[in-house]
Amino acid sequence: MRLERVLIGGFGPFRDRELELAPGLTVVHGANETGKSTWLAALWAALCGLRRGAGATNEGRDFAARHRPWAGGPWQVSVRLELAGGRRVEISRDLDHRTGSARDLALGGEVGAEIMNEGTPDGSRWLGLDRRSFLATACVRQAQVLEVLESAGALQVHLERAAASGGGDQTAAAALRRLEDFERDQVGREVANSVRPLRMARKRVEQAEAGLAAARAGHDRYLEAAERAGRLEAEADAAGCHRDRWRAALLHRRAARAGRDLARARELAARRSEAGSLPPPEAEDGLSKQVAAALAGVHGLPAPAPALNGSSAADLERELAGVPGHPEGDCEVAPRVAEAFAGWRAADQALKDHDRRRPAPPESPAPLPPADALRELAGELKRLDGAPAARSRSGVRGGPALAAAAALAGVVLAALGASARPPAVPAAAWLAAAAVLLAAAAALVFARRSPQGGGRSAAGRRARAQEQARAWGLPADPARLRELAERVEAARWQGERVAGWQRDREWSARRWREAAAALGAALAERGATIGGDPLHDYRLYEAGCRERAGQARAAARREDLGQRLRERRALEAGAERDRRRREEVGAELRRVAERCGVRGTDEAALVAALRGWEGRRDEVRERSRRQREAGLREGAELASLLSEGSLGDLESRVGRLAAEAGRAAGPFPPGELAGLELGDHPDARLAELADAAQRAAAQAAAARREVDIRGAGLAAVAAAEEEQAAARAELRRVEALADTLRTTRRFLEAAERRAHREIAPVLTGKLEAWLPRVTGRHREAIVSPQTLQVQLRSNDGQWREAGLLSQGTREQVYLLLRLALVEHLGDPAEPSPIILDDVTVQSDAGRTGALLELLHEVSRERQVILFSQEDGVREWAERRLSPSRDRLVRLVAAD
Amino acid sequence: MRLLHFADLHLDAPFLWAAPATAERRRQALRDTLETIVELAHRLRADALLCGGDLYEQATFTPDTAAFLRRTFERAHPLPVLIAPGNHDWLAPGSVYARGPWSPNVTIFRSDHLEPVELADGLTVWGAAYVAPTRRSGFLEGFRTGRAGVHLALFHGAAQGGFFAGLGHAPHAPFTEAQIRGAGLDHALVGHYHTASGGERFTYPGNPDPLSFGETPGRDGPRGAVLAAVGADGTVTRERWQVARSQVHDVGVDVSGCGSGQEVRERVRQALAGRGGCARVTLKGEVAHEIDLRPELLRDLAPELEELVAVIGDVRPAYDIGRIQAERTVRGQFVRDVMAAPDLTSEQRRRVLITGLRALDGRSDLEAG
Repeated sequence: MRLERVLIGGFGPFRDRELELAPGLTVVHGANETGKSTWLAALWAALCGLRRGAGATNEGRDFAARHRPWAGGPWQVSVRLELAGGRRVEISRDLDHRTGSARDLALGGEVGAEIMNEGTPDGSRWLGLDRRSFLATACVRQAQVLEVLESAGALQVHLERAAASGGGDQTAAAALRRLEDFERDQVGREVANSVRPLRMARKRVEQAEAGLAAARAGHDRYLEAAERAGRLEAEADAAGCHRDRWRAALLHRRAARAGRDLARARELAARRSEAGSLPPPEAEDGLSKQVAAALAGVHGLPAPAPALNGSSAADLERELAGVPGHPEGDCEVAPRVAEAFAGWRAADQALKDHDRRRPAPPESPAPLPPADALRELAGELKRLDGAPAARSRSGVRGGPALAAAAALAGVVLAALGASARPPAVPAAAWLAAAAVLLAAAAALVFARRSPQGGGRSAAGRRARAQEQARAWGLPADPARLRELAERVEAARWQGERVAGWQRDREWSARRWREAAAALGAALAERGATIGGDPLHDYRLYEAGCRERAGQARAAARREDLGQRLRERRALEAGAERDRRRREEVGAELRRVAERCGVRGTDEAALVAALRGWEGRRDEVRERSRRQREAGLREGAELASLLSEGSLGDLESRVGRLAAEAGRAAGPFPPGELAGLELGDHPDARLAELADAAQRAAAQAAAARREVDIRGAGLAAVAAAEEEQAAARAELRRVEALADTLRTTRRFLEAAERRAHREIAPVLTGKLEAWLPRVTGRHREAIVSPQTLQVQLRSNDGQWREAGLLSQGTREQVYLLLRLALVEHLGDPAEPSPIILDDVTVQSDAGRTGALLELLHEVSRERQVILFSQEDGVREWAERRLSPSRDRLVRLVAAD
Repeated sequence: MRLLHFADLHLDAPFLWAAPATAERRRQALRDTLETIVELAHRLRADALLCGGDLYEQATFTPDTAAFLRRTFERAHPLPVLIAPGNHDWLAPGSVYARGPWSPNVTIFRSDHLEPVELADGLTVWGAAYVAPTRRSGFLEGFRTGRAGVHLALFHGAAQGGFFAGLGHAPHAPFTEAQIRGAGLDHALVGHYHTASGGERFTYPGNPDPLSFGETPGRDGPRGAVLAAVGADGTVTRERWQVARSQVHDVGVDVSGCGSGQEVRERVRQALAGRGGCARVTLKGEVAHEIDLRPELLRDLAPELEELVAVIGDVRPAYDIGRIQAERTVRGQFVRDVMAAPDLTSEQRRRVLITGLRALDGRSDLEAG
């Protein structure tokens, strides 16, 4: 793009002015106040225009204030330009209305739409820029150069700004810091003690959710409490209904009962009114007492005693006089006597019985040897009957001794046998005889067993046996001998029996004597006469007893008679008393009967008459009593019925009860009330029901109070939900903001790195290409892709940061970089003109010359317009500019 | 017989879009609307007032709501009031309905199957209640009136088929018009859908007071209460009445061409002029990128409104993205990268671009609206 001409219709101090611009380098020279800045502003305004729309920025307002036509009139400006393609366009501006048009000078058509920006055509759009970036990129102002000269870091900052947005005020680093700061302020970190929005939003959400949970929990508890209260209220209602039904039934009953009481009271009252006062109780009059006493007297009389029979008292007295006295001595056998007598009779009987059992005296044969000897001998003889004769001849040794013993025994026995009464034969004699016989037998046995005998022959023995038999005077016949032995044995046994009987009789006789003595002693003790014959003595005593017993029996009647006499006397006295009492009672009875006016033929009739009189009297009194008692009872009943007041009061009460029962009946059907079984203790039951209803009501009321309390303190769930929603929305907003900021930073950092990487080599290349031509000392340069820091290498080989080099070098580097940026940031197909405003004002002549040369060089590729107040610049222009490509415009104050 | 029918008042509902004070006023407005309905019933000489459920919110109701309802309906005495609890005011043990005493003119249907209430000689209203927060089966399934006379139904349920097929409500107590006829019912007065709508034999009155933005009049007229005139032959003539005391506006404002925040505010102010109640303003259009457009900067625009909810909708700052992309600068690179990033949503892209460009411009309003 090459700007050909700027036309001012009205702009600042100028009106209808024109500035011709060369395609190469145009130097617009003028001292202060000659309008350089106005032309610069007009050029920019004509090319880029002002943005449309209300709400103008401060920049816009300042611009308008400075550049509106000072003398008034339309604020108009236009520019003619030629694009790289050869198209020539004129852009006209009505700055007052911020309108403009771009007209193709060749075709005449409107081409403003191609470059429309914020409501108005913007010629910088053909350069790939806009009105802001054109100003920042293609316009180099004195102030910017001064800034670079005054600050070592300004060069880098400027590069960063240019790299960020093509020349805006902000760098990418500053934008990133701003984003970071904004995130720190408007989001903050997720740490516990942070008060930044993110943490606060989360906290608010937590609190809101906790609040909502608490509100819902409270609401649930409220509902539970309400449910419980409802249930308890239903139970209380049921209990109350039960109580009311019972009470209604009870009142119904009471009203009915009171109605009956009223009817009864009315009846009783009417009856009392009719009957008047009650009869007084019958007085206990004296006649009745007398009748009662008389009858009591009759009643108290004993039954009439039968006539006294039998002996009179006198008879009995006489009879008693004839009765004997009581005898002396035993009237019956004394027990001891009887006992002694029984003892004597037993002893006597025993003795007699013993005597009757006296055995016969033993047989008295000739004296014989002992039975054993006889049997021995019989046996010997028997054995020897079959033995040889020698043997039988041996006989028995000692035969003579034996014979002598046997003979002696026979003598003794014979002597004993001669005694007829056992008591007359001493037992010793019998014993002596027996001993003799025994000795004989022993001698026989000794003889038979003698060895001399045994050793002899049978004949010898037989001879000796036979000799022995002969000695004994007995045949030597064994059978005979055995028979004799039996007789001897029987005689010995009988003798022993007699001796035993005799001993027993002695004993019995002694007993008899002792019993007789005892009897005699007993009799003597009883005063009996003892004669020596126990039986006689006893019989005599016994007869005396019988005699005394008869006397005693006669004497016994004496007491009976005495008793009979006393009784008879008492009977006779009693009969006399009765008689007199009866007379007195009869007299009184008759007196009373007379007083009562009753008659009777006899006492019994009088009694009957008086009892009849009493009966009638009692009937009258009973009727009176009953009447009185009935009156009293009814009076008491009436008093009871009217215990709380008068009959009118009772009527009122009945009315009240009926009304109360009617009210209490309420919803309950009368039939239901009447049919309710109240039992025996309805009041107690009512009290129980009332108590139960009261408890149920109290529980229900407590539950309802709890509901009310919970309800009063209930946090609104809806409000809590709203707060939760608001808190969540705020958190979503902050989280979205955090996400946006972080994403933006991420993209911006990446864009910065990439843009710097791209721009750094461009700037480096441009510096290396032009710097040696300008400075002659620096052939190498490097622009950091990270920081866009510029370093130059001097001829001595040292790398130095551009910002730390001399002012002239910095100025040159800056301008070169600006040129490089214009080339880089602009559209390569449409080179942008460069407009410089007093950029050499701080340079010395040498640096100014070098810069001017540089610009002149640059102007070969793109249009350069330099505004300057320096004469040196004008002089250089006059000397160096090519008339065909360049132009020097001299501004004068008058212009 | 003239019956005034309403439903879906949703007393004590939360208003998640409103500030606390506004939300409280909105809840009060719901109560005011109920009183308006009762007054309307008297004014129209209705023979009964019928509520088709969702009278209040069981999950959020406050104790004084129970007292308010009892008081309001008691004042309506002797006007019969019939209530069929719905899914939001289901007949829970601790619900408002559970606690009495209710005035004798109030009948609350407590069974989960239809039960009759004879409103007049020969006119029976069959009503039922939700006894749980959800109900999958319809009240009309297997139901027949089985007697002569005019029969109406009152319940909370979701009509199926036709216009209602696409409403997207959960199938709460579904029913069809054919079921109404098959049951021997002449008409069903129902609640659930908040849009004023209905069919030949059923009527939704719609929610009588706005609960959110964008509640436009229904297909059949304004949301509110329905005066149903029941003929002797069972025909029902419907007349819809708007009863809401409050206004909730949903306003879109195109701010294209606005060069400053003041211009935007002025345009919004003009759009809200003459409006009352609550308003939601949704901005759209292209504005100068220098303008700081944040919702909080617009809230004080209409002090006469109870609540102004500003939403930055499809608002595009007038960045010349195409030109910026062409820049060989950090900014150009940034825009190119952001525009090319495949993992960003369009909203994220918009926000990142605005934030980044504002940061590069040195602006402090880095939060994109």
